[in-house]
Amino acid sequence: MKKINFNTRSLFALPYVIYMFIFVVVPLFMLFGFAFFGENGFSLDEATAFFTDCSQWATIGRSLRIALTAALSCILIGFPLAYIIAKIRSKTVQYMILMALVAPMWINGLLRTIALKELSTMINFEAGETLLTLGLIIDYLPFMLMPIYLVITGIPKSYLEVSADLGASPMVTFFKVVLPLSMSGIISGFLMVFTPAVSTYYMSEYLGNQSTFMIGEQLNIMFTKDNKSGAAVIALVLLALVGLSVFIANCVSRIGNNKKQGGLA
Amino acid sequence: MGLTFVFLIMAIIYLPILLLVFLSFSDGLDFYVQLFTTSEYMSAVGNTLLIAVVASVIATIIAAMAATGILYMGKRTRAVTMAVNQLPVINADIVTSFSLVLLFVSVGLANFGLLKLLLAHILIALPFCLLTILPKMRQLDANLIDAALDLGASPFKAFTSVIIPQLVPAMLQAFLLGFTLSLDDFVITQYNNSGVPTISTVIYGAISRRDIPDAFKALTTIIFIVILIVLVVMNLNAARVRKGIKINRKLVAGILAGILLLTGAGVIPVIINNLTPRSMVLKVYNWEDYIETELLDEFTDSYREQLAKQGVPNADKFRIEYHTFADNEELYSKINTQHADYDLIFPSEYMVEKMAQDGLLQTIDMTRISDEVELDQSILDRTKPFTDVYDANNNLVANQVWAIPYMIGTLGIMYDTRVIEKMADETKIDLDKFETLLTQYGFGVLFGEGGTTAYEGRITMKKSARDSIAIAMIYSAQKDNNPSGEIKNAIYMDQTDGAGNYDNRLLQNIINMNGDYDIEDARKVLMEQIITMDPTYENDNGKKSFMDPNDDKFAYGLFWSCDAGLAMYELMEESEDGENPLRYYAPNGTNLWTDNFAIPTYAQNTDAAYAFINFLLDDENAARNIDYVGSQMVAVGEAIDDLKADYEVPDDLDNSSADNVDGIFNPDINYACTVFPNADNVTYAAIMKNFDAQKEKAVNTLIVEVQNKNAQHTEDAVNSVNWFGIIIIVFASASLAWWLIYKLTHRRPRLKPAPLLPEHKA
Amino acid sequence: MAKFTGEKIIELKNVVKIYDKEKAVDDVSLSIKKGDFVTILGPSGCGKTTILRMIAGFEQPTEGAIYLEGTDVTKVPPYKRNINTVFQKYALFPHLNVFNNIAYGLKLKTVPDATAKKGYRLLSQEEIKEKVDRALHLVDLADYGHRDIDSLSGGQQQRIAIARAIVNEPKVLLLDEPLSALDLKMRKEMQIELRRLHKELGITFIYVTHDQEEAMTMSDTIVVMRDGQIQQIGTPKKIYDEPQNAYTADFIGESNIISGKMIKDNLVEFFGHQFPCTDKGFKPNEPVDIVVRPEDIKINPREPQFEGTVMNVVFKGTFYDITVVLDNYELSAKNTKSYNVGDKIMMSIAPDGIHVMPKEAITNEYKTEIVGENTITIGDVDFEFTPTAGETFAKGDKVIATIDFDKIELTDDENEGQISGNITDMIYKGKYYQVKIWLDNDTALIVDTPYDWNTDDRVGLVIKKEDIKVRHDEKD
Repeated sequence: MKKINFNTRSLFALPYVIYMFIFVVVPLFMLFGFAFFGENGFSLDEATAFFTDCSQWATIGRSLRIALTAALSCILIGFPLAYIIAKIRSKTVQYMILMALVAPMWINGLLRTIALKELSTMINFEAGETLLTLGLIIDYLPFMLMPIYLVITGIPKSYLEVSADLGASPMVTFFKVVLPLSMSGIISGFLMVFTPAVSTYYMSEYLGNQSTFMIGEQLNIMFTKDNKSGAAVIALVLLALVGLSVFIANCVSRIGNNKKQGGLA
Repeated sequence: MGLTFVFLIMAIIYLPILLLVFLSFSDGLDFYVQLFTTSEYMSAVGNTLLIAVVASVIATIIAAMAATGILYMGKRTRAVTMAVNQLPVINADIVTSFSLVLLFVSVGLANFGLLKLLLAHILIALPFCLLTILPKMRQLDANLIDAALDLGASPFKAFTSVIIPQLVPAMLQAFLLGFTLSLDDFVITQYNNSGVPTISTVIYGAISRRDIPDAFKALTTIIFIVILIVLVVMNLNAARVRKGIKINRKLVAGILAGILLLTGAGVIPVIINNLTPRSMVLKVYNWEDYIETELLDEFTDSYREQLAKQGVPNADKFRIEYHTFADNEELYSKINTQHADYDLIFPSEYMVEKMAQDGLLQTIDMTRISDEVELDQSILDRTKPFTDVYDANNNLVANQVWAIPYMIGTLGIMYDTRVIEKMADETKIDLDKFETLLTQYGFGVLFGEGGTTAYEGRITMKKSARDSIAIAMIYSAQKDNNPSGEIKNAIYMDQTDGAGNYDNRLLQNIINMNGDYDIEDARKVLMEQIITMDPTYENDNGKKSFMDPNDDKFAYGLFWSCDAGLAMYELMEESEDGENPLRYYAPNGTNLWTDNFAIPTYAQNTDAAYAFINFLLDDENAARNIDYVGSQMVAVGEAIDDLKADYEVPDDLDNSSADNVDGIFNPDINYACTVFPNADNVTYAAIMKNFDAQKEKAVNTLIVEVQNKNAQHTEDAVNSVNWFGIIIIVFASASLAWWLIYKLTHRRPRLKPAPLLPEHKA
Repeated sequence: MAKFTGEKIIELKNVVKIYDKEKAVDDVSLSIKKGDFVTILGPSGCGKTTILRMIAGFEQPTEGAIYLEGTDVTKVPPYKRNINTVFQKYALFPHLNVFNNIAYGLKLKTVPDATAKKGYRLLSQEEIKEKVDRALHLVDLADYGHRDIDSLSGGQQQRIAIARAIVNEPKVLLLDEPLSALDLKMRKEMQIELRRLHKELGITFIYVTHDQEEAMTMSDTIVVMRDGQIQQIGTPKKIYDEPQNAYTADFIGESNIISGKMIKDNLVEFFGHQFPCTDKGFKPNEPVDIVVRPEDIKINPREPQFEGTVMNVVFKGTFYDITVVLDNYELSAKNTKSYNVGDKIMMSIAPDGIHVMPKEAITNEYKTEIVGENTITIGDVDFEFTPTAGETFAKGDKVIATIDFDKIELTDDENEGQISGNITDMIYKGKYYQVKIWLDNDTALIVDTPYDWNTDDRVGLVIKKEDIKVRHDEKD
């Protein structure tokens, strides 16, 4: 028999491991429990009800579309933003700008969402998919900005110099060196924006209209109406969507790096 | 060029915030005074800060320890740990929150209030803290801790004397990140809150009924100023560093002390509040904006006096803890799953029934209601079915009720005369015609009767399942009986009992889907409505669109009388001539709703609860309350009669008379008619009953289905493709595909040639 | 000062350490005499540092026991062992200055004191200062106490690290590649310095390095390790002159390793010639490895034994390093005379210059089981094989698959191989490289390859099905 060799120093992680087990792993299993075990034991009723309703698929598709638009727009805005900030000479100015971009989060997200709604009403900008997408972009931009910024500042200056030395124009250097090396930041940023966007409920409630009904809202309705098993099924669907996006992101980054690499961020 | 872009983005991000900053001064410094003097707001701010600080401090410490431990884990254990760490980072907030709810409910921790929020907020911060600290930890020489152990330090000593000092900058970063995420969070707090007011829950409670509380506009300004100060301090500190002055530890300590002091200022009142004995606190859980707030203070004073007279020590410590909720289900889950210890709650009629069935209510002893209190018997007659208490042998228990009605009102149609008139050319329906249609078709106008299909896309329905489905049931029954869709000959309007009085049992069956009536009736008309009317399902905040003079989107919609009253009142207050463009009309054959006083099983201070009920039912207090809230109360008395006279409430009114333009549709008295339902409204109305699990599920499923279909239909019908989204997605997928193909076809061949010379190792 | 009483101070008994199912230390028994300077020598990943860490107490053996002066200390945590360590990159505490770094251990130390309440007390400020000053003096860095760690050079940091360890007066001082971060000149100086300290302090030094030269110049005893096992223990001279196997020979000093076979006692055949030697006890015609030190190859001797062509000559100061090609082998020789490239030269090797050692293995014998028709698994991947006539296999049968070293092809891209693994060690055998590859399920295959790889390279392996010979595992 192999005896378990408890290394004393890894015990420092014990509070963490216990906490994560209780508050992350166990609840995850409970989701499965509530989704598939009703009062009469195992039952697929809720899941079947969900998947056989074709309007649900439309909702999933709509949520994906809105979240994808928001996340990709965040890349289009966040990447140049991070690049510009990283290129500023003074570190202090860099930190100040980052701080200024992240600090609005000290004001509660719900409050900012409603403030945006007020603003849009004031300038007669109709609530709907565009406003919702805009809200998602504004709210989650920091989550895109930070990982990309960290990756870009982590690229050794010598790489850029080598590239220039080998005759690459700044443009070519950007596309051949900076962009590929920032890929990991872009991917984790994408996931950090996509996930909350695809599952949002209060944003679509306040910024959207009747044609932006999203899957997060659906979960919220189920939850507030105390339909725990229905909500659990939707939660699992969301989990699967997120898992799928992580999987795709990992595949992309693996192919991008030409080697086996697990994990993200 | 580059910086212009940065500042442009910054401007867009800050614009909504600056709007709030601007609005915060619209009443001088009043909002600030409000923020600092309203105990609900202060305790919300205090709780939020307390949770954010404590949770992120704990998370930072656990993460620092974990980072140390993870370095020494085996490869696989570490891989698993890191994967689990990614879960909450990547997982959707709403899924995390919901799974936490399941956990807390299952282990019976549901009513742990602050502690529970703390545990949940640690989860928000912890994975990010670890991700912040771990890279710094990796940069440390892995042998440092070994060196300390080697020199005789115990593991704990090694951690505190060697690791912690090295990690301080990273830990500060982690703390800041955790603090930020905790402040930002709404979803996890909302889902796991059992009666602890925080900034986000207070806002949520408030906006569903009215608007961002003014005080929070002031709070936004304060936070904005803090952000500015932080930026200035960063700049100043950098200037010092540039000048070669080492980072000023005193300054850092000063800032930290400042933050702690500020937190303390917010937190200490909360702690002091928590120290008050429970018998000195009345915990009330009510709908937002559903009470004249001055009455709360007055009650506090009068009850203190009363206690002092009784010789209760520390009588002046008595206070009310007043929390608000947004819907019945929220109330139910707080009491049922979280066992919140409120002393007085305000459930609606069907919720009283449900809670009584589930054993969540104590009966109210009518003998403890003061003799001076006079109640409107006609209303009590209507509420009997759900307030009456029966013993085990099914005999009526005298002088005991499950609940006493607090406010009553109707479900009806609110319309914006401005929009109706503006659309008249297009719809061929002028205001008079529209009002005639209202009396003729009742709720039928929501379903396109009488040519109202011209309002396609300009009407609202309620996301609240019971209400939308109830009126769909009424309309369906009306149409089946009378294909013209007119209300006059609807079957439920001609029911009489033996004595020739109206018998509402049929209507009751319709609303509650009993007898021949089932949910399929509602499904059919609601699905048709999607196609003919393209309604917007709104969640309580729809009235704001009606109240906005610039917003012409909606012509009319389904509303509760209290909401309509509130909207009209606000507009009257705002306008110079005291007029408003909104009107409310409740057709005959509607739903009569009541919100009721009830005492939950878990209540701990029933004495104060009774005192508070008596206080509010006192006719003078009730009159003030009605005036403020805009809804009728069950109390009657001289003061209320005076109020009615003041409002010019007509004594008799033919609710269904189309010619009655001088009556209910008269701009001068429409508001009064909204506040005080007329006799017809009360007579020709049914009260919602609690649904069994099956029916409840059916209505909730239907409302989701309707919204799904509605969104789908609008998407198809509007035919306005979201080009922006499509272009972005196509562009991104094309570049991704190109890149992948490029990568896959350009793999570096790597084969090493045989060496000419052997390479010996040194 | 130094007492060589022959008394054992450290003893390891059958120590095994497993990390993630991988045996880092495999059944090691070792005893170390008091006052000795012992070097544990081996390439990275051979388990030498793990042994050191187990002696220090940072790791606990999975099996076996460790004794300090006869007491079992296997489970005693490091902070309760009177052993101190000098770490690879010094591990000085960056937030403390030199004085406080050295004083760190002293401040935690208690001394018996009858007058104190608890019977012991902490050291006083004066005592600590005195001890720290003495230690600083010993490493020639007096007056450096107030300095920041960052302001010191690598050599100075090294001395502080030593001072920090010895100030606690340990019974054993462990040194984990302490000189690896220094430049060559500094390293030489520190080697002398360490010898001096060892003499002056008279305590036991256990020194871990992968640098054979360092080991040779400093130690009383060398322990050669490979793959978690001890290969040889002995004085530097003994290990150089009488390596026990090809591995040790390859690792200690330069050597030519040649495949050959033992004709009979005292006669060995390689390069197609027969050579007299001093080794005996092998089976007739047994395949063996022959180790010949470059300096043992005599060029143009009086009695030449074989011929070769000079391919390359490099001047090394006092001698020439000559590469000779014969029969596809590249042979390294040392000579004081230079030759021209392309010259044909005659050579001989004296019998005591030939070290014959048994081959570690001559073919891969991989224990596995049948998972399908003519299919076995190697490293969790299914492989088809061509069964020998008459043999039948059923699913689940325990079998041994034999694959010759040269029948496995390595590919650079792991995805092109049927299976992949990491190269852990590599020996040049004149004609080819012999590499050991650990597969992902922690089994190993040995491969002969013409290409030069790097250790830790990740490679793909291709094995043809006709090259896999399978037989039943008789023992099972």
